Amino acid sequence: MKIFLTVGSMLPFPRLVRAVDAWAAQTPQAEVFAQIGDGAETPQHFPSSPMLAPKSYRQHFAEADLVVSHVGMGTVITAAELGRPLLLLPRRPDLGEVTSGHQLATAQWLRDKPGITIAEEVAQLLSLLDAGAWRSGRIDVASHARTDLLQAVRQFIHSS
Amino acid sequence: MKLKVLAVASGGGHWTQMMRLVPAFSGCEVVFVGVKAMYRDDVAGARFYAIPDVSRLHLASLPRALFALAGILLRERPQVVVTTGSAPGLLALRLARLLGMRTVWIDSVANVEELSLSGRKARRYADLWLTQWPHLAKEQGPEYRGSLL
Repeated sequence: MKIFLTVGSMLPFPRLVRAVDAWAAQTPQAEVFAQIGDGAETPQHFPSSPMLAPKSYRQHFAEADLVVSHVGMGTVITAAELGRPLLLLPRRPDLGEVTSGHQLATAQWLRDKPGITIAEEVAQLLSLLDAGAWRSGRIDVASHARTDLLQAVRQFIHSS
Repeated sequence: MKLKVLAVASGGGHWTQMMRLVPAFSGCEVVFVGVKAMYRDDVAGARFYAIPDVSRLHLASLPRALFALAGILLRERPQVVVTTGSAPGLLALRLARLLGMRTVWIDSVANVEELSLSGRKARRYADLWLTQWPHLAKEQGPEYRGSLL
């Protein structure tokens, strides 16, 4: 099973990377590649890179059976575009993992979507990984709303 | 003459959302501003500038980002500046306003419960001030006109 672990472009997420590293040590059949952020400690049990260029990021994403990540919109939109399932751990402001609580709010919104599984805690994330118990299905967050917004912005640009 | 649009976004989801906004710029000349040089790959064929990232965690880079943005705005002279956030986009709108350019703020779809801090401040500098969530729209703004998802 191929897993792509990605923490996004802003900040490292050592709580998540350490947990998956420990899990990978016990799970030799898992093939993990990780994008861990600038200045992050390097995991011991799988290859990683601080940052990935957009093309390489999308390639790792597309080839993965599961993407493990934070609750970042870059991750969520890419998963929807490429049809990959997500297992997500929200960053917590009280642990200094993000500057606001918006990932917890976004997690609430995404919680029941097909293709998205939210773990509250590291322990839950690891047991979901062990059990292969993430939600399958294609993420469908898209709607006609995008056409509306594109039209609104186009109109504004040409209205001067 | 084609209208020129300057599209400014910081990293990660902000940039991803800007990429989903690109069709709105059809018929315009678009110049992109991002916070990582590697984002150039996403906009092959368009002019691209990388500027230093600014956030509550990267405050030290604020003067350099401001200077870089001012230089880009003066050189490119776009008619419209559009941003999907975050702090670098707010700086761009403030400068664009001073230069008499029209401005658009689209708050990230990640801000489900409330507008981002930059998004709230953008009210004063955005001619079109948008949230992507209907329940966050208010009579005095921000407006909801759709979402990038």
